[in-house]
Amino acid sequence: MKTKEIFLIILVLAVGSNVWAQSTEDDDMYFSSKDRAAMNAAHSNSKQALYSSESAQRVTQTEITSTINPTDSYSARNVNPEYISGARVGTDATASNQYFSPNYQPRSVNQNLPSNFNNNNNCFSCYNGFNNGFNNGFNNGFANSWGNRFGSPFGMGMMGMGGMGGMGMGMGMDPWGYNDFAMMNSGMNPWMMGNNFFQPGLSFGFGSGMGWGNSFGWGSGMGMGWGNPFMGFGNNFYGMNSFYGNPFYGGFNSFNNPFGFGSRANAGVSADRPRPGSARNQEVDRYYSTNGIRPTESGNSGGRVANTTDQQYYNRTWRNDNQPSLSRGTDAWNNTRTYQRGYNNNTNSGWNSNNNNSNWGGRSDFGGGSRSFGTGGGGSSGGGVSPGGGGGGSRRGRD
Amino acid sequence: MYVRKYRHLLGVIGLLVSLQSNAQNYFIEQALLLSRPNSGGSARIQAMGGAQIALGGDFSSGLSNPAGLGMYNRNEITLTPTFTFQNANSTYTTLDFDQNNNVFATDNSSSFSSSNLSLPGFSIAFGANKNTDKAPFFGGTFAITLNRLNDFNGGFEYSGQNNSSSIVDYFLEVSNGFTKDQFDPTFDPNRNAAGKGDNVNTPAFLGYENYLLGPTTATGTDYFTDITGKPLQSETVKTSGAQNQWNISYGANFSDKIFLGAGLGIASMRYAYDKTYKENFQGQQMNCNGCFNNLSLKETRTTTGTGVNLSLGAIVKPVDFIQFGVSYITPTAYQLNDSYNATMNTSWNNFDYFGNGSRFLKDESSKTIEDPVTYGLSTPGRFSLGTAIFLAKRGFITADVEMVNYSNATTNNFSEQFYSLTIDAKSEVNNRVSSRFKSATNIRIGAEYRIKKFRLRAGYNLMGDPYLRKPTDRINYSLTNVSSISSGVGYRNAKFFVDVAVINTQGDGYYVPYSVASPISPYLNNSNSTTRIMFTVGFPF
Repeated sequence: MKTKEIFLIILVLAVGSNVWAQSTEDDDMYFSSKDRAAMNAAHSNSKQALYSSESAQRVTQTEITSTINPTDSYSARNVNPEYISGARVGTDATASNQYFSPNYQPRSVNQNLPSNFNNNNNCFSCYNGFNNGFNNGFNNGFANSWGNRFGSPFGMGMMGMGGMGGMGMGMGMDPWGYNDFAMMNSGMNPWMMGNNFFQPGLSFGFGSGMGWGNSFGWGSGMGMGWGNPFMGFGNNFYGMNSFYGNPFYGGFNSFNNPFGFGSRANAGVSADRPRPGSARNQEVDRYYSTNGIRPTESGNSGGRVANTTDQQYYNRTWRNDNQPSLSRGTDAWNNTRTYQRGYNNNTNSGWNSNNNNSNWGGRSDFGGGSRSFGTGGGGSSGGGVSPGGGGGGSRRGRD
Repeated sequence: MYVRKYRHLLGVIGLLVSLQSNAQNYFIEQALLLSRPNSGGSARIQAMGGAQIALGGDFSSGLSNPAGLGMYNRNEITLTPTFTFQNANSTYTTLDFDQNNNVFATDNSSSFSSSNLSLPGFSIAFGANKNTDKAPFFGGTFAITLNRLNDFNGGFEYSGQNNSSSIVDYFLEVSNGFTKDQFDPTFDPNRNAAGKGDNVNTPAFLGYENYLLGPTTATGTDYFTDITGKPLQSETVKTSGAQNQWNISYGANFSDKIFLGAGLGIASMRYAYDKTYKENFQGQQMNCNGCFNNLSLKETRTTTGTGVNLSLGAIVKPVDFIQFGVSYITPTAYQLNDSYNATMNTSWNNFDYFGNGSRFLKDESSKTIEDPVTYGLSTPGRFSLGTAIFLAKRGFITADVEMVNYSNATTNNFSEQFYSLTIDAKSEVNNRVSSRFKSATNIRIGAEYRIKKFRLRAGYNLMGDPYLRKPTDRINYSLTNVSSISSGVGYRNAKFFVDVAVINTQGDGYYVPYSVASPISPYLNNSNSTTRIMFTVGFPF
């Protein structure tokens, strides 16, 4: 009879677990209130099967193999061990050697804790190892923090196994991107914030350790990180630059600006930057001071002057003029190129009559000289250049 | 190579448009570039077109709608590596007028490919503490996620004979009208009169230093050149970098019916281009009798920075088979650093430049002066609505609508006054942004079919055209007509899951190597195709 009851209990547990497993939605995207109700019901049934059944009260330690949770206890479960013992051996609880076994550890009571439905209850050692991993990861990360700015505020055990000699792997993640190679900076710069403060990145610290039981362990880890996923390790040293005053990335502004947005002065008040003068300009000055006139008039420029007029230098139509001595507008030029009747027709009425290309010079796209172009028969009417206020703009590149 | 004919009017219009200044274009386009992120998220979400506003239980919610985090019932860690393959088919067009004043268009086709491996996704979520003890509050999920919003890796290249213009013409155009003081590096743009030093650190400056152009008098404002041939032009443009965002988010679960969430986003970005432009004049007949061989202009521009934003969201599940989501992501405040460097090399045939033996040109070279600029950029906020309809446990379909007004992007705190003493750089760029861009609607649709532990997915994503007025002189990477089709599969059990997504994105790009007034600037049309293969591997714990 006893064997039969035990078998029945095991069967109930198995069926209950199976029902629970089947009804538990492991894809949270599909998880609904019905799933939670089913999960709660399954959970409740399992507990009831375990603790309310008279047969369950007769289960001995050796009859159920399960994981051990050292933090659990009979008192926490509201189960009186003496009652269980009495139910098992009669009114004389002390008669049972097993009850007073010095090596006794509870094994079964944690089997169906509510918090275990996420499959962390497979075995005692795994659960314990998990904890070790978690702690190691956290501690490693935190310990690093003093050397590495904020270090890793989070550590998480990824896996663990074995109670004795268990191994945990911890991973510390630093959402701020404070990397592990900026120790010098953190020590020298109390603010620790150059332009790096909001420089998110990824910093991993991997640690491995061995643990005994559940209370302690040791671990050592290797830190690896990069401040900015794009910047590579080079970014790690911006902090030092900040301390030493990198003029482009905040420099000493970092001390005064804890948020690190230590930019240079705003528009209109930027400091002068010493730069060498233009050697090319000086060369031009020297040439004209000697010659007094421009090369096209002096006729001494190698090939540049030839027999053409100045206008040809300012008229892009030269690019099609293999024979500059020829007059424009002749079909003879069109033998080998896709060009250009339109401007040929406008020779000297459009481009060439507009004050030496001043119609092209209006770079004042914003507020400077206006211009209007017409092409074809009318040629172009160059707008005025406004070299005064609002004229030029500082360009960077072609875009 | 083939030749097309256009109507004359087209040429006139193109000529007028091509005269725009390029000076601030980079900053304008950067504003759009950073304001237009991809949907982001896991391979599961990406396989469904990025639709995710009404979904939960996936780390993607940390970026788009933190309310979805509230649906987690377990802890979870994921990694998402991605392979990216980019291809650009380009058509380089030069234009001329024929004998009847019609515009000739000469097209040259080319293609460019690149690929890279990245880790655009990482997440850790703590959501296993749900219980009904404190109903209706069942608990919450805290998550830290990393998502890649944009991948800038790519490029294009082209080459073609240009019989009508050279980049030297562009140098002349931007230089004429101002004395050679415009090339004087000692000039401080904030303290000197306009017209001086304005062309320092530009390709025209490098052209001037390489003797490609020079003033006709010592103090005059007119310039000449000796380079009069017809060049064979070519250019390779490579872009790199990405825009990523960390999110620290929390989502709360109320009775499995209402989910509320909020999060802090910390974005980082790096965008860089590397351009090498060449003109070869060898064999060309010039006024200077073959004095010049070729020029090479190499430009590198890098923008880096970080930004912050907040996200708020809610998901309502009135019945188990339908979910509605809403989220708002505040403007992202970026602090950016911009650095531009360029080098020009020219090859001459021992040319007596002044004609008096004082200067013979052979291999000349010059480079720009290091001059980084910092500025702030605020991208527009994004408002999203979404819904999902579940077919019991067999699957679901979902759709998002995202609204964003790109014209609301603003810049501020330029560390230098770029443009003039009378017009503020910030105002100028902001005005241009407002007039160039508009509000747009992005649509994302996806579906998943569930076969026990396996999943099949497909989706479509359309990003609305952000341009109110399309410029003809913008950089490449602000693509228009961007759309994606995607598909994927997944496997999931209680302890492990893996999702794979293949996303193909198509977009059109436009690029002008330089702007000239006559006859029309050459231009490049790109057809960009990017294919991403994403893997998300997750471990509940």
